[in-house]
Amino acid sequence: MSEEAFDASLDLLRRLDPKKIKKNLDNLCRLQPELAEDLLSSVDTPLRAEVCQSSGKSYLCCDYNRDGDSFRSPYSNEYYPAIEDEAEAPHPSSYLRQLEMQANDSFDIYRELYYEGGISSVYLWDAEDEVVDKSGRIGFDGVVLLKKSIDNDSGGAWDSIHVFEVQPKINGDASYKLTSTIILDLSTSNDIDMYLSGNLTRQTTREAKYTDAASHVANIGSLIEDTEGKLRNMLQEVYFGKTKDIVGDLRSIEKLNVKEDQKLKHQEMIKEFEKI
Amino acid sequence: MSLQSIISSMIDDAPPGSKNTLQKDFKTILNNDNSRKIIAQNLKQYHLNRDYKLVKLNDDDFGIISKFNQSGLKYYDPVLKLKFDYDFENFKVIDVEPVVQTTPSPQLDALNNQICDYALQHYPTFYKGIAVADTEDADIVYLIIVDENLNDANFYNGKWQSFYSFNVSSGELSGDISVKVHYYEDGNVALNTKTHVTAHNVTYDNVMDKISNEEDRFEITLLNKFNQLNEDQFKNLRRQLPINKTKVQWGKAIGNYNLGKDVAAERNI
Repeated sequence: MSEEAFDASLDLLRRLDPKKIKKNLDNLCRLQPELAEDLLSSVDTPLRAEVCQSSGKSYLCCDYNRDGDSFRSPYSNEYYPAIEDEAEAPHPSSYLRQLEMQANDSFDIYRELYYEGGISSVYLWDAEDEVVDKSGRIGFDGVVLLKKSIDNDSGGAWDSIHVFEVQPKINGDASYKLTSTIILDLSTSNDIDMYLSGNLTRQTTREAKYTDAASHVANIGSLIEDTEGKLRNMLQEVYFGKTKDIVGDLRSIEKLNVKEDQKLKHQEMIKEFEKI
Repeated sequence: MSLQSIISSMIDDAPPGSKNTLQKDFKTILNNDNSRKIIAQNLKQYHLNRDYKLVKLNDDDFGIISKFNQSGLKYYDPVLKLKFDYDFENFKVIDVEPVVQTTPSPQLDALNNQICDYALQHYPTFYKGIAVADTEDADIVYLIIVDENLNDANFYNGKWQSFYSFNVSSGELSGDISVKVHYYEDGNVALNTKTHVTAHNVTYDNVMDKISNEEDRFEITLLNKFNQLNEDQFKNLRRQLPINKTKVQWGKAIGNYNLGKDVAAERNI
């Protein structure tokens, strides 16, 4: 029963107003406390930021850097608000942590080049029994988060959530699996109240050569860069193309019989033309 | 928060169409014998008070469910001159019966003809427009138009709703227009918009012209807003190409970006 209830909850959250996703997710967790943990980890909501107390910089929070109510900073590798037993909480193994810092630096540059602002955070975690080393032969998982908000006359927010798996093979190729979700919220209250809000998700896999662990970060970076570009095009098409067309189809500004008349005239003209 | 208020809040956030799926999902989640009844009660309140419902009366005709055309336990259709009930558990119209008017109102009948003509001219898909008098104050006339474009095959649904209160003696018209669109292929995207409109010196003769003007103006504003959100918001969130117009050099070379200098210099080009 609980699996059916879980699927039904996800189905609801895929339909209910995406702008209210946090409220509806919380309410579904209230209705089914036993499913709360699974629901919170499967549903993407707009990212929130915490301040790293040791560096003073902002970082992004999601289920993958969470322990209880605290979130690990990619700068200091410590959880905030401070937790009782920091050593017991999940941290990446020693070399993976180095890779995580490198990845954070790389995506910081990516963020500046494409977003000219905002925040980015990368978290990596061990996925295999063997500990990740420099060779790149041991796989691992990770998430790349990017967020930018603008607040002028109207509001806008972009949240990218890229969850990935790195699976190296012995022949020097690795398989990269990526699940990307972009949450885009645009609103205005000038003249009329309006918001265009929601998310699009895309799954991608790519095979690529690797030489060492650092090359996995480069491969993932390039895969995310391409996928974000495609998703941005999809968002452009859905938000400003399809949605706008649907509005135009709901009500016609021009009178429909005028349109019909024009169509008939046009057809008659074509007939006349064919006679010539 | 009570179960009732959670369900009612989720129904408020439901997109156009898809009520059957929602009912099924709620039922699975609540896992309770009364769930269909609880959902039906909440759906009914939602449609009576906020989201007026378009229902199919027969092969050719639609009806509207709202608190304004409630007549006893049923709903009154002033165009077809009939009453019907609706089963919110099974989503179907029941008990349709003709109504013989005891006190005919030629002005209201004429207005209903006008609203039908108007809807025919401006709403290409499934629609209905009605005009009904307030049950206590005959000087107040309510006009409701509901139009739906449901297309689950292509993963979208849209709804237009306008509601006006027309005071015949003061000539004041006030109303609310709202549009909702849901697009859900590979995601979940919603457009939600509403506006309040008013007009003065309104008479039975010009009310539909005034409404037509207000609806045209709203729709034009709305269509322009798409372009504005695209230009002012979307483009400033994430660029299509990086500032330096070339793809990122991932790997060790990424350390060569000297963002402070190079990027600032690129920006000024």
